Amino acid sequence: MQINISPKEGVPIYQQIVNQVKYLVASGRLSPGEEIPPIRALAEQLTINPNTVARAYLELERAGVVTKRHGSGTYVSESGSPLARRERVRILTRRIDALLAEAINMGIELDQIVDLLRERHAPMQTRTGK
Amino acid sequence: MRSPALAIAWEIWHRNRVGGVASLSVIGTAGLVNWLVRGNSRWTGLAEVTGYILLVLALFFTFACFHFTEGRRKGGFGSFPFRLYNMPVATHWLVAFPMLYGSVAVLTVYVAGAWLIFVPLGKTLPIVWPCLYLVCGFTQFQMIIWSFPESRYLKLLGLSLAAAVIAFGWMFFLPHILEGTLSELGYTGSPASFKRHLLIGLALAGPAAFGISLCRVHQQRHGMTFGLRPFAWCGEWTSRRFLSRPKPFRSATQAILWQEWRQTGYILPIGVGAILMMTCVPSYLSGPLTGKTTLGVLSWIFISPFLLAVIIGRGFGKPDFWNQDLNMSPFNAVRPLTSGQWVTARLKVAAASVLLTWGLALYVSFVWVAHAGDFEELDQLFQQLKFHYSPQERWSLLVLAFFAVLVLTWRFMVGGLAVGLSGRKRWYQLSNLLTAVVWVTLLACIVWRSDHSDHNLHLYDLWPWVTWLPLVLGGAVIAKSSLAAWTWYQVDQRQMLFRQSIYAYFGCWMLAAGLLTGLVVIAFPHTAWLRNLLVLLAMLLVPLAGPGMAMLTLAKNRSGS
Amino acid sequence: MNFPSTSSADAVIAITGLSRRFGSKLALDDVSLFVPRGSVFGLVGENGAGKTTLIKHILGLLKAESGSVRVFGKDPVADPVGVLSRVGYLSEYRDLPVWMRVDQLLGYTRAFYPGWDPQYAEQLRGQFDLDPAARVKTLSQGQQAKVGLLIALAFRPELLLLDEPSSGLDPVVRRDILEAIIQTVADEGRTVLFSSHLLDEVERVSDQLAMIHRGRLVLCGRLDEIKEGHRRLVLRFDAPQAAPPPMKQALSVRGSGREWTVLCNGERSGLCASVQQLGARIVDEQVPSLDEIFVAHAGQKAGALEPSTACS
Repeated sequence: MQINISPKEGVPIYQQIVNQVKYLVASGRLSPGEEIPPIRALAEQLTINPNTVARAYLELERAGVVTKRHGSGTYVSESGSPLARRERVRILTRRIDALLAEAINMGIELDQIVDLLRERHAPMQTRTGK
Repeated sequence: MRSPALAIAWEIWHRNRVGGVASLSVIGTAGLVNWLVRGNSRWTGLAEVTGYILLVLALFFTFACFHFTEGRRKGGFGSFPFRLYNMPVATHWLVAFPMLYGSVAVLTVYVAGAWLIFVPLGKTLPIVWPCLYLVCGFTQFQMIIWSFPESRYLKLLGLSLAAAVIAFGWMFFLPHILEGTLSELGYTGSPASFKRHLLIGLALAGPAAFGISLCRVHQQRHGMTFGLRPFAWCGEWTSRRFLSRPKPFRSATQAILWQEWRQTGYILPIGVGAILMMTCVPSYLSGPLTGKTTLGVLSWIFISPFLLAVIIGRGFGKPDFWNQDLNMSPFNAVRPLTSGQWVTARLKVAAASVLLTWGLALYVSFVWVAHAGDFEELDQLFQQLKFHYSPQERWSLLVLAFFAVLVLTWRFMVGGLAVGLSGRKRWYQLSNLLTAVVWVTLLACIVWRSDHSDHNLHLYDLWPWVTWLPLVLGGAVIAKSSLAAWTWYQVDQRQMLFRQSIYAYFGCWMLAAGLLTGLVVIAFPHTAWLRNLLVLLAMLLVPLAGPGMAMLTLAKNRSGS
Repeated sequence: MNFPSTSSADAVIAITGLSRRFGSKLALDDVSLFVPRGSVFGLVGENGAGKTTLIKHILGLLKAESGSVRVFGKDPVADPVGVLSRVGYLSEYRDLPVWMRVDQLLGYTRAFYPGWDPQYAEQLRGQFDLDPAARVKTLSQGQQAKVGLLIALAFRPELLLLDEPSSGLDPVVRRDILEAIIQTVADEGRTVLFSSHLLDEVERVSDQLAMIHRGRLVLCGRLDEIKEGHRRLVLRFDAPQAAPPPMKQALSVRGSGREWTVLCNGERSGLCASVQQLGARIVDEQVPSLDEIFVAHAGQKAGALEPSTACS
């Protein structure tokens, strides 16, 4: 599991882990049912305090992104669960908010944005064959 | 500070200004006092002896001031201050300035002493020969301490040899050279030509020392290792093959014994070994010796462990022998050991060191006497022994005397522990000064006595001292016992040592004191007052309160007070 | 500014009211802190602030002039064996006997600690890539730090004390040291206290933080709470200000004209109230990095210091 954290970012380290794991799950890089590294291993890999990793895992478990199975580690929750989908929508919503804020600042109308979206979407669809 | 010459001079003066001012003022005061008592014949003898003592001490101190070395932080031992290598000064000036200043200082001290102290007493000391001798000795001293930067044992060896040569020559050769009575020592050539050769030799020794120091300092400055590389490799190989420990230590006390032995255990044996080599080899090579010379050399062989133990014991008292700093290093202070265990390790290492040294001295003396000595004087001594004592008494005397000698040497080695381990620099320096004064006085008295051996010492000459001495000694014994009781009680309270160990030490003390008493009783069966005096002295000499005090002061030093 | 922390009953190190004077200089001024079991405690402060003095008190290398120091409930000066046999220490100056070889040093240190684990020591030696036949004198600074760390770790001490472990070392060695700290604390019940200048390291691995400035404790508590208790606010005034706005919770103020950046600590509602009082608007609000918090606290003039904080 490839995660990068930076202490200087202004976001607490455990929050950075939570956000990145959520992103990895939402973007498909972590498949449902896949095991994520134990607390100690991740702490050693990132050279951070194991308690921070524990806190991040607790947060992820509460949000339903991962589940802990007794004695055999922590696994990504099954997909199709409404929580995972909710997470994806939440990430996208954030990006859309940022886009809209910039557009308003530059004085571009909503219709222009929608047209732009369609324009950019078409070649991408043909490229990925979906 | 306008030039490097002045800067170096200032640095040397500034580091030693307290001692410098003290010694100059002492010489000045002594001179004044001598000028005031110059008419009075009863005091002039005492003044003369004191004058000699002060002069010798001042010379020692001057030598020590110019011990111009510094250790590296990364871990070498004292060598030429490497921070000076970064300065834009040529190497020959860096080497020349301390040597020049040192020579000038030594000469000044000697001439000032000779003029201020002895001229008022009407005695003129010779100037030329001693000055040459001193300058030569000083330059050799600096050359030795600068030439062996990495190998402290070689440095120690060199210093011991040089010190032995200087002291030997000063005490025995110089008077004969000055008075032209070399024939007494067996020299059959012309005294004038010997003098000329010696003059040339001494005059050349100074510049030769400068040349060698210049070479070595130049090599150190530019990182060139030359000549000692094969020795270093040899040393590494032997230590790897023979001194590596495949088995782990059985306990923590064994580990610190090993550490202390490796750090300080070899110093006394090596020093004495160097002196023995210096004394025995030339005397063996110079052909058959008279009875008197044999006796002289033998007494020198037997005195040198004592003298060296006194000198080395001062350094042994420090937490780290090779370091000027009196604080215990954090590496050692953090080990989970009580101060009592540290001090016990030191005491044991000192005992082993002393045993090794005396074993070496005895073995060498037997071999040497068998091959090179003349038994005549020894035979006379033996006859006297046979006359006074029965065979059993003789044997027990010899055994007990050997034992007493071991105890005394051990006492000199560990006597400085209580002050050295305390971490207080001024007290340590004061204690060194006191020891130096006591010993130089003792030696001066011995030399004076041997010079004036025709003057018979009668009991009534010592009258006032003889009545006071038992009282003083008895009081000292009582004081020592109370101090000992208090310190060991404190050690027990703070649990620095197991009770068994404390009792074991008391047992050893009683055994040692008992054996010394036995020696005295057998040796002097007839003079009761002398016997009692010596028994009291024996009880004072064996350390009782010292080790306990050392444990308490080390504990204080360890917690930074 | 009190940060609630674990109770003192659980504390491995309990320091109360410690003061220490060296000559005329007050090195520590009424310092109180508790180090809970199992935590990584970071001690930060500028050079000469008193961190090494504090660590020496914990080891019993300095005796407390006033106040008390208890480690594992014992006084380290009165009972050196009981305390030191459970503490692993790496000093700032890597004070190792230079004449020993590495294997001799390991054998020697092993004799003092019954809990010494030879396999672990061997594993660490391989990990740190240390030649057993090399003399300590010939090792580089980083290697000496590694050797010092090895002998402090190999007997699995309950408390690991590191005084500036990364000073003067390259990033590779620093990473090794951090990894060793993590491995130590990941084992149950072992505690680490280390002092450092490198604040990003402190941020990564510490749970608890204490900051010493001129001998006084200015910050103490859980790291995340300390960070959340500080804010970097950008204030916008309607009229350009000639002088820095006098905000009372502000630790450092920068800027000119209408916009001023203020680093302050305290409750958010209190901050908003103060800003409103000054007649400004908050246009940006961020959590500052530990670096900025440290520099802001260290820049305080002596008279402006609050009375020493107690770390409960």
